Amino acid sequence: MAKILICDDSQVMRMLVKKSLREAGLDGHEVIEASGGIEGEKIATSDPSIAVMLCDVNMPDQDGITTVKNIVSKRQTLPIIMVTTEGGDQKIKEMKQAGAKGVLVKPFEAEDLKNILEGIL
Amino acid sequence: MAEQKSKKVESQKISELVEKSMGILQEVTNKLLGINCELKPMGGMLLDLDSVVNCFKSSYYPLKATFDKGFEGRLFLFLDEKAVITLSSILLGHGPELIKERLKEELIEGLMTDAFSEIGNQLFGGLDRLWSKKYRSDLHLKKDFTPVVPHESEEALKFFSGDDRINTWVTWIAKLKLPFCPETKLIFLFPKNFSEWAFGEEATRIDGKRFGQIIAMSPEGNGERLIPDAFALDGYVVEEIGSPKGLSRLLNTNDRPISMVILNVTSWQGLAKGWTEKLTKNPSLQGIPFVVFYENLDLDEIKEIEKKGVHAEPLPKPSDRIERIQRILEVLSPTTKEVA
Repeated sequence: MAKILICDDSQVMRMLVKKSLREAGLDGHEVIEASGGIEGEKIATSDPSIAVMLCDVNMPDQDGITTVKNIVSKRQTLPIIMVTTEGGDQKIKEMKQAGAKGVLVKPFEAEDLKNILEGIL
Repeated sequence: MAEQKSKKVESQKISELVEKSMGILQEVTNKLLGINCELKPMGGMLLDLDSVVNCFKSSYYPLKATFDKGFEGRLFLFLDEKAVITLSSILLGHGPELIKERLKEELIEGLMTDAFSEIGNQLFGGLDRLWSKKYRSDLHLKKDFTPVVPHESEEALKFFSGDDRINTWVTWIAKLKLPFCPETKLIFLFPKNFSEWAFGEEATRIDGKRFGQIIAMSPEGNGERLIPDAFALDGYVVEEIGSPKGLSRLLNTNDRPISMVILNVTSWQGLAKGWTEKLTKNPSLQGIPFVVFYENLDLDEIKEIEKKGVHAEPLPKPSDRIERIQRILEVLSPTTKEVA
């Protein structure tokens, strides 16, 4: 069983990601939630048992790209998947350059989440 | 006479953009919520923002995005209260009974506002991807994280800047069919000059033309202006008449061609029937589109109206002014003639 960190300022979005994890048959994993970039960064860098992080891009306190950059500078090996509506090539390139391992474009289905997490967990 | 503020939008490229945009909005909604929603564009017009906002009789909820880098401006989506309740409730996993209860209570609270913001975020995200891929790669939308409030609230009024009110907007109305919910509308607005920027083409081909006169009559004197000032049709002069004397005076002194006659009735017998008989026989009004907006006529009465070559258009109360204008524009469209 792995620990999955969901970082999103929207409570509804965190609920939706958890629902998708259940639908994808990944509900055996422990889920930890962060309601903003700063909190997400703090958890990701202080809890080494976090196996993967699902991170929103647009967050009011600290955007997802800054959050990823800060985490990667301290913990390079943590796989981070950006969960976003931004699907343009330029934006995806920017997220990957910041250190994101993958990008999940919203809206997504449970199967999409499963596919992206399968190689990691 | 009121300043005219609405024009029919006719550019083919804009119609295509709207069709495609509605397609992506429908796709995002269906995928996000796992439902079958239908979104059908009814046609567009050019309006100022005050006219759009003033037309709502029930509460509408605005969503706003700003264009990033390539184009200076804003984009609005308006969804009515029933649609907001239904969409948010479905996203939160509420069952049909709870959704019906929420619709009855007209209640939007707590997590529903968060859910609606997320829906807005994903709708604009879908438009952003479509437009940058299909039209201009430098076109991007930034979603505004604004509170979920009805259009008439003070917070919503702050939502619109001074420029927004002055600008002319390409305004499209679409019919929205959602599960558990009566049919509602989605209103989609983008700045008129956006079409010039994206396509190098004006939003309308009928700019600058001068049209004739629309005679709007309410013989039963229900007190409501059939076409409120804010909605006077651009290029047309709208004359509201409440008595047969007023009509006779107008026909005798009129120096402007008549483009359309509208009769607003609650029932068919009595005044409405008498007026229709007179008007359809009037030589000055032959060949001119004639529309009867009615509230509750039976099938025989509708057939009787249509036999006289008159369009009968249902308009149940409370009437939706945007829809009324839309229908008027649809009837006017095939017969639109420029006046010298």
